[in-house]
Amino acid sequence: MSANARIFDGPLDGIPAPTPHPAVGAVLVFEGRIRPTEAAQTITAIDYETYDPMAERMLGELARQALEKFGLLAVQALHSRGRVGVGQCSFRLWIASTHRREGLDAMDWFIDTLKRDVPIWKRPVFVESGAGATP
Amino acid sequence: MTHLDVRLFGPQADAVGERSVRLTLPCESCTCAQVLDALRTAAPPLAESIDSSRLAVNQRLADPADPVRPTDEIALVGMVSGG
Repeated sequence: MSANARIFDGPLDGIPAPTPHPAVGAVLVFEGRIRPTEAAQTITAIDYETYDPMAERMLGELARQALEKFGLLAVQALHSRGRVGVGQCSFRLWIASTHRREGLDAMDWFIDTLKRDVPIWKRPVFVESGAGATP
Repeated sequence: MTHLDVRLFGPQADAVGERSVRLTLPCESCTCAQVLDALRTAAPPLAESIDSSRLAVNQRLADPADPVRPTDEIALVGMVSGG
């Protein structure tokens, strides 16, 4: 069983996924990607601000908690810092479990907790006006 | 009297126009709840979001009753939007 987390500068595209353990029956991957609009306005990117090193440490703690709480085999959580363009990946959660149900439940729990507690903020970069606050 | 600096991030930093706020509190042994109350007064643009925010003390989320000292690293964690 393993759990790890890391924050990278820029988009996560191209970072290889882990190799599943032979006992794995289900692999779930969630990728958060940048939509072309935010609050009905066209954007070109999102700038992610992280409170370091707390944000990365909390992602790692959530990965370990998910492993134990849901009986998973492996969890990897990656998040971006800095600018990520439209269509690019800014968050990836990789979960390996024996069966699909615990993996799906863990996916929901992890993302809900991340969005509530982990000190990461986004600023959309609007086409017209450059970077702006989250609407 | 206790003097504290509270770091701000994201939209809350944008709303205030500063990356930190300096507070002077009348308490000697202050709690996170007292810091949040003082922030409400010292930085009115935070009024709407502060009830759904927490403090991080020395890089760990803290509860309202937890103590804070002037030497602690204190940050406002609110309006987070990761994922």
